[in-house]
Amino acid sequence: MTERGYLGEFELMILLAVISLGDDAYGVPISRAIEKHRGWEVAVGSVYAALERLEGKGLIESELGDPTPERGGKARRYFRITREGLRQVHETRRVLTKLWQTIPDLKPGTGQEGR
Amino acid sequence: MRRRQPPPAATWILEHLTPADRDEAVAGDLLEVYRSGRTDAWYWRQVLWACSIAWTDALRVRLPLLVFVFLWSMLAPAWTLLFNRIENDSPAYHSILRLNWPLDEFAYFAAWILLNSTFLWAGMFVFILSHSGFGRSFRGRLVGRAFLLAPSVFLPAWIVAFILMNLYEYPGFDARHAPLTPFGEIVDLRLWAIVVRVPYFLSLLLALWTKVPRAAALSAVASRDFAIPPASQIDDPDTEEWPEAGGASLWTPRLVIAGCAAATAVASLLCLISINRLISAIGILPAAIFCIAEAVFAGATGALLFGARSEQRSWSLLLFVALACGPAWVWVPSVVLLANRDSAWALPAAAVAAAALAVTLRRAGALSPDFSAPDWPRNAENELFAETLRPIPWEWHGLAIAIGIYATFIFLGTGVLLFACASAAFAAFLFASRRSHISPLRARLFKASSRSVRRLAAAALPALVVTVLALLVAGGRFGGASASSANSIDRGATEKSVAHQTDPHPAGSAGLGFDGYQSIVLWPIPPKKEIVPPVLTPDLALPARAHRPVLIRFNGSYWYFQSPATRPGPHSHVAHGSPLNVNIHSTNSQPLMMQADQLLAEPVRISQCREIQVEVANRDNWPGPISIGMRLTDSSSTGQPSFYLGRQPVRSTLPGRFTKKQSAVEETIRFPMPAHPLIHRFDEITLIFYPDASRVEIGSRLAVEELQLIPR
Repeated sequence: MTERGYLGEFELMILLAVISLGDDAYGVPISRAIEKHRGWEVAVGSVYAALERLEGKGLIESELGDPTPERGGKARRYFRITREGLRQVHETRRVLTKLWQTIPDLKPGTGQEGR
Repeated sequence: MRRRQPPPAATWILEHLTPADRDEAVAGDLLEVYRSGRTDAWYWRQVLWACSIAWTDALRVRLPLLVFVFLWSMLAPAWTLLFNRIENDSPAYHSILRLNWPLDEFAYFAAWILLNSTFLWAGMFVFILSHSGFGRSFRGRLVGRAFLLAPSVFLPAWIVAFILMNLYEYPGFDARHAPLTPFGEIVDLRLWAIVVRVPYFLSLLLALWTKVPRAAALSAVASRDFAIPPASQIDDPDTEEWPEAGGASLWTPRLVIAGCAAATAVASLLCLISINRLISAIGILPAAIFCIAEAVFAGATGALLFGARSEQRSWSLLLFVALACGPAWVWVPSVVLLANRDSAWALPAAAVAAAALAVTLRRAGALSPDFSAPDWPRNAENELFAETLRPIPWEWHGLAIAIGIYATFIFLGTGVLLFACASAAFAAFLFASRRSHISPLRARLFKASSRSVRRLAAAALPALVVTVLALLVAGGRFGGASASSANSIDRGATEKSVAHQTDPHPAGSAGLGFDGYQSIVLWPIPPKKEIVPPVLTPDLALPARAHRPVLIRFNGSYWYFQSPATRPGPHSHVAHGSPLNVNIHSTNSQPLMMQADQLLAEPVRISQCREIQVEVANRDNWPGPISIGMRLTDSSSTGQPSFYLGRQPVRSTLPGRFTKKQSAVEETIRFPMPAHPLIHRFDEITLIFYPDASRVEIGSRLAVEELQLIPR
């Protein structure tokens, strides 16, 4: 039985990165994808901690690949989203979209930020 | 092109200082990114961040476990108090102490580990039950492992705590502490109470660390990735091969050295302790087997513990190291025992052990194949003459062997037998490794294991014989073996010769140790001729239908000594007096032992005797329990067999009954005779006084008044 919980911002980003990367989703490209869209560096350790949490919640699953010489003989751990993870992403998107639609357009400099 | 390597210290931290449930993917990812052009500073930053996040996450998940283990270990001082009470009051424990050595050691150790494991298992049971109450279930296999892991962690943790506590404040855990109320014991924050909690805390924490159920999926991943491979996979001969000949890097001689060091250390400690114990003639063979087994076990454990952290660890490899080195480790106890008695036979035993090690390692391919090839001089390119003499091959081994032999004799001449043994072993190792046949071992695991087992068994037999002889040499008590052994340097002298020495010093101020005496022999006052105790003829002393006890007034000698002495030495201080009136104490930190010997004029048949009662006078005002052991010896028979009747406490010294005494207190101690004793008669009664650990340096102020033989 999986635990119900809310997805944090960072966890949602990771889930989206895993979905977009498909079969090539392991630590390095996930980190790079988040860095690319977020704009600043992400610690690989943080990414793995979040991945473990998500795996614990049953939202993603993982398997070890083959060891490669470029990585000092260490294997990659590939992640893929589960059906439950996909459902929660859609649910989060739905809730966020609804909430976002309730907010009027915010134009910088109009003094309406934060209202 | 050579790839960039990240800072090795950072890599080591990442691989060794992160929780065990992290796999290699993080390290691989960091290495991959680093090689794409990142700096060392970036790598360090990432490693430290990964470590801190991993530990934070691991501790956060296990917070309930940490709290529970902390609370349960707080109970440890109260448990220790209960444990001591069980030890003192339980009849089962007393029956254990009456067993012969080494059975008593085995039984005592088993009872000790079982009782402490019970406390740990109770804690684990409570934790698992509480978790089940919260709807989380443990995996049965993991729980089973946790229950096995707890005692195996507890033992080394307790030994380390014991040693550290003794180093900091002798006698450590054995020091007398005023018992508090149960609640007071739980909240006791004195140093010893804190230290005694540590082994229990670590054992419970480590046993349950990887067994805590997290979410189902995560625990499944953890068990899949980090579980020990099934035995079928390890032992499958088709899946794993032995290291090939010349695979010295894989074999790593450090494993062998670690195992040898562990075997020597443990044998030195336990075997030397064992020779100071009372061993009956029948008990020598089990004692020798026990010594050999503990040396092999210690060696294998040392290699295992050292190799467990190695990157090249392999259970099959470690098993083979243990089996290959076993033929050498079985000789370690005999070397230690003989060296302890300054016997020159320690040299050949050490040489045999080293040669056995070299041969087995060589055959197993652990030594490099070119190890035995002579190094020919390479001067053919620049020859000065058209024809030269054939150069003599340069053999550094020969020179080293010669130096080893030379050093052996030097050390032997200067009396440093231990170094002489080491030099002889070094020379024998090199010689045997040069001369032994190279057998490139490419056999599968099963074949190699069976060969090693056979070699180990074959080597153990002669080692067992030598160890038995060494025990006979070392322990002069049993069977008069030391006197009959011409190969040992008997530092002792007979009791009779000691008794005839003059008495230049008063006994009351005598001490022991560096500025004292080797030992002290105390004869009763007044000085008198050697008196034959009540003549005990079979008809007169203990007739078949006798109903009256036979009374023997004690008129033997008391002997104060320190380990490893087994008899009064030639420089013993001989005096007249009673233990009640002298204060004898150790001048060093070694325990001071006392024993009293009573000779009988004629042997008494044990079948006629139901019990021996000892009347003692106690004037000891030093707190701490004292117990008395009794040994019966038949000195008229060949081999002088002896029989240990066990140990009985002196009740007036026990906690709760101890009082400060102005005059001596009389007390009767009973030693029941077993139904099937190992000897049939005796003519010498020896009483050994065992002080508590808290007062080992103080001589017991107990005197034997009389002995009563109670007929059946």
